[in-house]
Amino acid sequence: MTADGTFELREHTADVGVAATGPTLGAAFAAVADGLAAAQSDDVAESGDRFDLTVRAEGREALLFDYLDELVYQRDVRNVLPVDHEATVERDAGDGDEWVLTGTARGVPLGEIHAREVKAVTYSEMRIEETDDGWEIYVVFDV
Amino acid sequence: MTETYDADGITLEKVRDYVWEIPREGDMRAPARVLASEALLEEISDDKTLQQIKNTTHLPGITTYAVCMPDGHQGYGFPVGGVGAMDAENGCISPGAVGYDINCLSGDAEVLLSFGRRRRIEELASDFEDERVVVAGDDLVESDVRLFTETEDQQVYEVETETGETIVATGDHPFRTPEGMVELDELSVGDNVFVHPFRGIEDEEPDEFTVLTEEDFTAENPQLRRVLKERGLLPLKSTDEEFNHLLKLVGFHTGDGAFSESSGHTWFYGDPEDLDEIREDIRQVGFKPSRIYERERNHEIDGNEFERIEYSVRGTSKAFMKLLQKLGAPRGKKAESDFTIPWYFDRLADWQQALYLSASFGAEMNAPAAMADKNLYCPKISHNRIRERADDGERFLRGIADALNDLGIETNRVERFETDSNADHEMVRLRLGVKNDPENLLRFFTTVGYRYNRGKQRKAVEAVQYLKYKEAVIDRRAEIAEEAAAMADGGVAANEVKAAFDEVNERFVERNIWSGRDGRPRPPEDFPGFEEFCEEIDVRENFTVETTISSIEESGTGTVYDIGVEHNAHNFLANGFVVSNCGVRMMKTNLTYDDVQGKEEELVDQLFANVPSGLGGGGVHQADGRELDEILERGVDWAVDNGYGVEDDLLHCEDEGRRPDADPSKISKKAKDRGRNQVGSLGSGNHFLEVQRVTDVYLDDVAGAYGLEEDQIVVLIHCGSRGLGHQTCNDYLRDIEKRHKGLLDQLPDKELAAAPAGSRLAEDYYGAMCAAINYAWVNRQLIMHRTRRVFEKVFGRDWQGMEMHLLYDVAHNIAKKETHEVGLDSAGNAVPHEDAVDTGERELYVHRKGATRAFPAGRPEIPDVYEHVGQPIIIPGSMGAGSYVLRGGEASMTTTFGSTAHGAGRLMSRTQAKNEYWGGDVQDELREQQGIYVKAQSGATVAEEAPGVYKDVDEVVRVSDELGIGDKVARTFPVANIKG
Repeated sequence: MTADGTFELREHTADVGVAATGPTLGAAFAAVADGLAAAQSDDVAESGDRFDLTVRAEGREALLFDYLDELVYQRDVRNVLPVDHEATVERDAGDGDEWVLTGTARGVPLGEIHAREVKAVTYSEMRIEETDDGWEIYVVFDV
Repeated sequence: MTETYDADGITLEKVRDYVWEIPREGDMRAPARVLASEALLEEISDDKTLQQIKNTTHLPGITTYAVCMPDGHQGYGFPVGGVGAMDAENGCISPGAVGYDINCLSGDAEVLLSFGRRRRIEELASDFEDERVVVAGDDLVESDVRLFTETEDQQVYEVETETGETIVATGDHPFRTPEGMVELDELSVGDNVFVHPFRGIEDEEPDEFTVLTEEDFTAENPQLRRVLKERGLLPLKSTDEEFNHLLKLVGFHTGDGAFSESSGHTWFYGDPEDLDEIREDIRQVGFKPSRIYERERNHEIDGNEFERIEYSVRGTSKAFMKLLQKLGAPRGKKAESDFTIPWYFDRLADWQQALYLSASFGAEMNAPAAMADKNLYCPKISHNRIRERADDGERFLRGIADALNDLGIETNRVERFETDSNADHEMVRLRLGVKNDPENLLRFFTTVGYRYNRGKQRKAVEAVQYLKYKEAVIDRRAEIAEEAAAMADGGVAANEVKAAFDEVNERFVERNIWSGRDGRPRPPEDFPGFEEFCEEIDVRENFTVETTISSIEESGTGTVYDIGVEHNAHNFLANGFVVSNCGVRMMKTNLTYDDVQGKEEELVDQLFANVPSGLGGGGVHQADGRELDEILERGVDWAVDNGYGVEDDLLHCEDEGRRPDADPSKISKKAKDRGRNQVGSLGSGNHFLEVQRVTDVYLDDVAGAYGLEEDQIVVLIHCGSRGLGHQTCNDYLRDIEKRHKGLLDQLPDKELAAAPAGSRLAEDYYGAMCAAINYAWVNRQLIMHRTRRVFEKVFGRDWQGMEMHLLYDVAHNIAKKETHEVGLDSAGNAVPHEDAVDTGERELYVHRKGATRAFPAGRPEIPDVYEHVGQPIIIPGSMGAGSYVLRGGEASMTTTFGSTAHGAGRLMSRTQAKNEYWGGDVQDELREQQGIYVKAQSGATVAEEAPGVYKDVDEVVRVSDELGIGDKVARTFPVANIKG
């Protein structure tokens, strides 16, 4: 689990919602990713190697969408459940005005745990808000 | 009184039993309908289902209504159980220069707006919603603008044509060509494109002033004033839309109109198709035009008598007549009238003046014509006045000349001549011509030109293309002349100079290097004359012509703009809701429940062990390299070729297991990466494989045709295109977000992301989705074939002996091009009924998200074996409840675009389900109380899919049956179930 971000799974009729907070945008993003992992497995495993990822997008919400989409992709091609997320988010205000996430995750081999599939991230009801204490995020996943 | 149902802020009106309507309001483009009993309505009245079906009606191009099936429930974007159909044809929009669909053009590209105005595309940002642009469909029509986007830092290219049009556009900007819309990247020098040479007048905000008030009509009766007031015509302001229509009518009437004062009729004379345009403008002002009258008239010219048919149209309202007269249309005999340019004319915006002028030129000015063979005559407006009124006539023409001069168009002096005088009066003929130097004529024809006269408008287009072509040739000759002279001055021998310019004849070079030349060269001898040129070019009904691309050059990067129009292009392929192409198939056996009893445990274990499911479980087949593309391209055909099925399977699958429009190249590498090891896998969540027994048969004859009878064992497989489908969906969702941001911002939900039909993105997505559907069919085919093997093992017989044949496979998350009877507008586009002027067959993108196609008997799309009874529909229930087999109902085509429900529909969230149920308990209960054997990768999945979390499938099917959209054929009950 990320040291400084927290998440909660929320009810959603057809799908599952994740509400997360973090003192920084990166921490909040990582907490959502932890929520994505929790939505897929109740098991806690210590195994697996860490891997890095970098995601770029044109805006904050697009970056979150692409980040979570990338994690689902990595899950399927590496055959691991990405857990234990860390992330930093920076805005590269240069030419392209890009948002960049650099992060790491630990990939727990799917064979070692009971996991079920989150099919995709959605934009449905997505919210990213700055608060006095940092950031609050809500995302719905298609299960 | 209409019965209504209030659901948390949304009111539904009852149309008839089980049919509820959310009427159109706000930005809804069509009504929304919900097919449900009150019990089912209650289940969705507190969540977002109704809001979501309402939201879907905001999608441009939606026809008839968006409709929610009886099992509808909250999804993202579209509700699950939503059906929407959008017109599938492409439309296009016309900027002044090259090309139509403004996909991505540089900011200075001009767009032609209504009333002959033009504006730089970048200047549309602030008020595009209020603007109407001109669109070149089959005809030239106006259309609302529905989106505007701006994208920075795009590589752009400058395109130039032989007739001198230039435009800067991105590589994916489509141009209209004789072969249809083609993107710039695929065009090269020498290819032909269509251009619309008319540019119009630069747009500006007119000064606001009051043109007419009630005071102007005090002499008239109060009823006449009331008629005008009711139509919002009093007071009449210079900024009123109606005023612009009136300017055209007054301009034309001054030339070719007449009043019958006694009857209050206002007559216009012209060709029938031009009169149709006049009728439309009369309508726009708020009056009813007559039909077009036709009568034969005898004329005598130079002693020769001949017949001519005269066409006319009239406004029948006296108020309309008085209005035109107050606006300056002359009364009585024009030759005896003192009319001049209307008094308010000087205060009008340039484009408003041009409306009046072009309409009067349509009536009075002669068409472009050749004077000498390669030069054009100066177009002239002329009319007769009696000598006493000749000065007024001259003032009128001078007013026109001044207005043209202000627009940068030069004119000749007004000419006056004596002419044949009749018995009563001496007549004077007055004449004004537009100067005929090419540049001046070009400016005149492309900015003002003619209106209400298609013949002259067409000729003007020919003249413009001729002059531009001629100028381009002369420019090139001038260049050669200069270069040749420079070479000669530099000491190059005459022969070498001639050889260097073999595109011109030697004498031309000689003249220029020896004698020198002042002024511009003439076109070469063999340059076609105007009439000759006109025979070669074809001006289309929409006033476009073909021309040839002469260069395409990189032009750096810049900000580009995109607008989309309502007309035709308002057809959308909604992306957000065509997700994983999941569907169901049912396989029959000749086993009975008796044969299976006692073997359930072994069966469920063997199925679970052999059919890949859950996360990371792999697939039946690992698709390496080209193989995946083959699957995407060929569908079940591939499976049969590779030993995963038999020919007979193809005949029992929707589309025979292959979507012909599939384009594997439109699926990303990422999506393919995810798809390679999942071919033949269930996945998890609500997807499952179930062995079932038939418990009830409702329609004997149809069940007979389907090969179903009571107590028979069948296998139901419910899954989709897996990671590949989801990745494809999200890839395109993001692409649409990046490329059509303006549109997306106008939609109530980002998940409704849609690509305009006809755009490259829409076509790519359709190709990708069809490929994903092929993948989904192969997925279910491989699982089915693996199930045959498992049955062979468990029952010790070969599968053929157990008659394990496919009943049907149908997708229920899909968008498909289909033809349906819908309401049509005057341009033939599919529209909601209340906007329709006609009905007819039209190709649509029918979107079914969590809805099943339900075509009745007789539809050619159904496999031959079922054509006489209707298409099988398989409705999976939840684990503890039954499933149903239905057949396409007769009413489905008129009620739901040939669709019905797809399942039970969730009631309870997964999180809540896990709190309420424990997987182990659910499993035990099902086995002990109902004899259902369940095996899943995770106990949580069992809890999440517990029977209580779903709607009552019986109620869903009952409503479908009552509505006649899907008729109940048989019911099945689970025996064994595996899931991820």
